[in-house]
Amino acid sequence: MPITFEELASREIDTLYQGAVFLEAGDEGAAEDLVLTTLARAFHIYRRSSPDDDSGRWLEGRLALEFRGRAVPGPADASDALPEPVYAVGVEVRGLPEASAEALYRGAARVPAAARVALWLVLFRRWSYDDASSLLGLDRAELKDLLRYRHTLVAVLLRRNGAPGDAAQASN
Amino acid sequence: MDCEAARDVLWPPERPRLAEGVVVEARRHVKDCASCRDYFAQDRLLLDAYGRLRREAAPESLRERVFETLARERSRGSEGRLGEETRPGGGGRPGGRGGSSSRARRWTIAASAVLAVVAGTAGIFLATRPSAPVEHADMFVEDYLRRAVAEDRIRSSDPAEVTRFLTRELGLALELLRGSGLVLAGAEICLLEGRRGAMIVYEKEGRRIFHYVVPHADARPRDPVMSARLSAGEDGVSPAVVVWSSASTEQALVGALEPSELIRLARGVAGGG
Repeated sequence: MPITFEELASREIDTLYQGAVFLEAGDEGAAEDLVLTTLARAFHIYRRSSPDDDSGRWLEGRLALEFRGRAVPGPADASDALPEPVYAVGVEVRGLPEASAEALYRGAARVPAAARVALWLVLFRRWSYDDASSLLGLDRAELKDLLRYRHTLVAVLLRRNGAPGDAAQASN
Repeated sequence: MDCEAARDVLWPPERPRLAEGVVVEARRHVKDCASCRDYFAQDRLLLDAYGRLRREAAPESLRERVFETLARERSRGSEGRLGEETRPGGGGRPGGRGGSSSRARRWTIAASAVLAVVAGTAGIFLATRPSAPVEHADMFVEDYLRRAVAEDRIRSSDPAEVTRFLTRELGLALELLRGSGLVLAGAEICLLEGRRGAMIVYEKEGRRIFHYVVPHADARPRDPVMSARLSAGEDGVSPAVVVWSSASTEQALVGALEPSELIRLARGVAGGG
């Protein structure tokens, strides 16, 4: 049964808010504005979906594009160097204490905005490489370059959870 | 098969896959490769951290801002009626929590006796499909119960003023109730199951009647019926609930009146909303 945009927004707003907080590296005020702007714009181009359409995923894409369009370059964007992989050699990842959301925000703050979008879509919302590439207008290689910033997130999480010093640190 | 190819084949790892040759080969590679095992273990670590973030629900204030904005955008586009969902182009000015020129005044609902009675009832049904049994109207009663301090309300007995308020806030040209001894007292915006609606308040002989209206573009017209779960009038004070819908709204009357009187009032506006 096709649903109204208000019903769709009500259903998806938590997911969008959680994504926005990550994209905004923990800034809840900015995240709220991002969600509000995304939904206000999406309202005007929403077409009543059929049951087969994934309107929730469509809104995720809208959020990602809205963030990318308004993101102000930060310190993380200054460097062109891609992070080196983190090898948790000798560290049993499963044995680590639970990673906190705050650690994830700190990691996000160290990642360029464009990479944050890619990581959110692929890593956390489990978009396929093809769908993410298509949405962001990137080729697969460009997308994968951005996804390498997952190593930055991992490094921050491992450091926060007391990983041994022999874990290679990602360049920031 | 190298690491990159194996990881590509197995992304995302939780997705079910047929045991095709390339999948089997990729899994064998990961099993024998410490780097790839680390890669997928880190994936779980990141998902685990994000899972904590996902426990945070959107703040209520954000929800209110979103639905206020959507209501204004809809009323601007629909000119007093529910219009098409589709609009060309993008844009759309995001609204903040700003008020309109005729900002609501504080409203004190002195309905503690009725609230206590309603809180003790088992539940109320709301019919949602013409051929289905009458279902729950809990969302109306829930809002009725939890309403305390609210914004976006107007206290007025002037039908024209209340109608303008509803048109501006909901984009609806709504017909108000008419009945002997019925006095309009005002209206306020409510949020019922994520949908923005209105509650119009009337008074009759010292008793309050609440008329709920929720825009619903897919509503199917149904005649007013009394809730099947509440035998109104038997205890003398239990409020009755009458529900019905037009082509674009779901509506209900809740109040301590005789059910027959509520149905009569409802039939006076049924199909006009």
